[in-house]
Order: sequence, then structure tokens, then C-alpha cells
Amino acid sequence: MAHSEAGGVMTVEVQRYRPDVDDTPRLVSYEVPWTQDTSVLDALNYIKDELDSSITFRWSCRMAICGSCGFMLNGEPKLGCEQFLRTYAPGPLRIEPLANHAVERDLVVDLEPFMTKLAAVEPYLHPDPTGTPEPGNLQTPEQMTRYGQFAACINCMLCYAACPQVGLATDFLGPAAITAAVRYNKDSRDFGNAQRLPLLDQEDGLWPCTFVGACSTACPKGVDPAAAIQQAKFAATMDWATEFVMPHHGAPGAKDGGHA
Amino acid sequence: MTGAPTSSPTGPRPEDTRPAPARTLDVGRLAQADRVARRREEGTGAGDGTVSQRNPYRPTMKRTWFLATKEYRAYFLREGAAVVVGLFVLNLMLGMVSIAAGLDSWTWWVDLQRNPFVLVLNVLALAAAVLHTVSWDQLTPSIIKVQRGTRFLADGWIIAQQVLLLVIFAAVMVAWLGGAWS
Repeated sequence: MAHSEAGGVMTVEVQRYRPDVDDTPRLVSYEVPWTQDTSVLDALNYIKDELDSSITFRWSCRMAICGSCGFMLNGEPKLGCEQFLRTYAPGPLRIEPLANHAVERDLVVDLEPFMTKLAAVEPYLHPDPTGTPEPGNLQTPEQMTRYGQFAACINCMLCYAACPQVGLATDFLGPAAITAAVRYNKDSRDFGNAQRLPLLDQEDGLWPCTFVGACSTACPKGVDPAAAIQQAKFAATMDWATEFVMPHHGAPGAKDGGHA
Repeated sequence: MTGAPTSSPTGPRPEDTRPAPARTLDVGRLAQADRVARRREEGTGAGDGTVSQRNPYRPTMKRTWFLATKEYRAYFLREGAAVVVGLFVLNLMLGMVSIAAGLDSWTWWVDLQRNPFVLVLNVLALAAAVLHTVSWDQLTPSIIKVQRGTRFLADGWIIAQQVLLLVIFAAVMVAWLGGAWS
């Protein structure tokens, strides 16, 4: 394999799967020229432009903010745009679709289960039911700090590919969806905690998490989903314990634990 | 290059009887979205049926998945260590029962502790307890967050507080067992 400090040619193995022809995926090798600034996404685009136009993969922004180009690189979930071929020199580099996901074609996985889980936690501000917020719905920097880290999620699903519990218990709500719920629960402008808690505090909610911690290592934005899930477990446990002391949060006649 | 598809359908599909999509407005696209939404409600899934030839490949996890990465191995070591601790606790409970059963059985249990298997179990249990203590201290800062203005207290302070509590607890236990209050 020709390579040097400045670059060379690397063997890139890409998992291919054609739903109309193949029964199982297979690895196909391509020879890709690279320099110091060739990203994995650049390599895939080179393959598509120069070697095989039928190769299929998602990408958009090239700058680690759209969350489209998540792949397994040598078995680890990474964003293709953020990783460089030089890291994997002299090669070979193996590119596979995100683990724990159904593969639609080549490197494209089915997003539908994740989208359903994400929408289920109602990841948007629920306004105060008792009144209208002040104009601008302001909050202080301190209030923003409470959830700021968890707001950096770009829904790239690398954490779902990293988490063995997602693979073993496919109905598990999963790291990013739970983190989104925690992000809004910690927001001073949000009043949706009571709606989200029943979804989190159930068998397929946050409890399949066994704190492997792989989601936080995989996260390209430093969100630390594992921390969010453990904090949500703590909050759910406190809510459960509070029920003994103050049933229905002290609301007389309220059903479903006061989740009106 | 071997990846070029050889038999992918290129011509119009015989089962496709949809009317031609509207060119001027997005009505056709909206109708398509409606059809997709209806299929989803019916449980046949978006993109199934005549619109596409979906045939998703569903990968399965290997039986040896827990050996795949460093994190998985560390996780399984943590989980597996609980088995050793469980066996140690069983041995301890056996000791308590043998005290209650009289001197003979107590002597038998004390002799049992000299068994090489029990000795190894005790050493492994100590290692497991140390592993759990260290991993507990490492993971606690993720859960206990103390906010100071726009920052959180550094992980080191949370760990220091854990260690301090452990030292105080151990000192009280040693003093109590040593008869400080008798």
C-alpha cells in the first residue's frame, strides 16, 4: 500500500447491500487516494464520483452539525465528515452502516424507529398551563446551563449504534430520545415533565439502560447521554418515592400521578 | 469493481398504476405523503407496497458482542464481578448460619475458609469490591451535578466527597467493632 506522511492510496472496504438483489450485505474494496485533509466522507464521495456511482450513503453539511453521515468506521460509530483517512493509515478502513439499525441500502439505515422514539418524548417546550409567559420567554444564563450540554444533540444516532442495549432490546427508548426528554425537563420555560415521565418511567423507557456508557464515548458533540439517562433514572425514582409521601403531587383527585 | 448492480429495475414497474404526478402544484406530492401516512397507520410501513422495493436487512448481534470493544469488556467485567461478590455473600451467610448451629458447625466453617477454592474466592471478591468502588466513584460525577452559576462543580470534588464519606464510614465501623463505645 503506497502511503507517506502526506498521503497515498488507501484500501477502503465499504459494506454494500442492494435490497432488490442481495440477501445479505458484503464488503467491496475500493482504492482511494488521500491526503492529510481527506475525510471519510470525501473518500465516499470520491468512490461515488469516480469509481461506482451506485454507492448509497447519506450526507449533507460536511461539518459535523447535520448528523447525517454516521457510519461504523472499523467497528466504531463515527461521523464520516469528522474523521480523516490519515487516522486510519495505512489502512484498510472498513465502512459499514450504523450498527443496531435495519439497513435499507449500502450505508443507509432506517431512521423511522428512531424518529418515532424521538417524537414520543415530545421534545419541544410545553408552555405553563397556568399562564402566559413574559414576552420573549426569557431565561438566565444559569437556567440555560442546566440543560445546555444536552441541547447540543444533533440526532446523528451514533449513540444508538454504540449502545448494546439498543441492539438487545430494540424497543428501548434509547440514549438520544431520553436525553432530549431530559433536556426539556431541565428547561425553566418547559412544563412538560409530567407528560414525559410516564413514557420514561416504563419497562422500555429508560430502565433498559445498564450504564455501559458507550453512548457518551460515541457522542461527537460531548452531550453525555449516559449522564442524562442516569439523572432521569434518579428523577423517576424520586418521583416514585414522593408518591408515598405526597400522593398525586398533593393534587386532590388527580389521576395518573397528577399528570393532568 | 464488483459492486455495480446488474438487475436493478430501470423501466416502469408494471404494478405502478398511480396517476402522473402534478407538475405545477405540489398536490401530487401531498397526496403521496397522505398515502404514506395511511400505510403507516395501517401498519404496512412507509415505502412498502407499490411505491418502492424495500427489503431492509436486519443485522443480528453476535453472541460474543460483549468482547467487541473496550467499553463492552469493562461493562461485562463490572457485571460479572457481581457474581463473585454474590458467592462471597453466600459464604458469609453460611458462616452466620453455622454460628447459630453451634460450635461444631462453626469449626467446620472456619476450616472451610482454609479451602484453596474459598481463599481464591475471597481474593476475587476483594478485587471485585475494589473494581466496584472505583467504577462507582468514576460514574457518580455523571449523576451528581452541583451547579455553581454557569458552571458545574468539577468531577474531582464529587469523587473527593465520595472518598471522604467512605473513609468516615470505615473509621466509624472500625471504631465500633474495636469497642470504642463499649
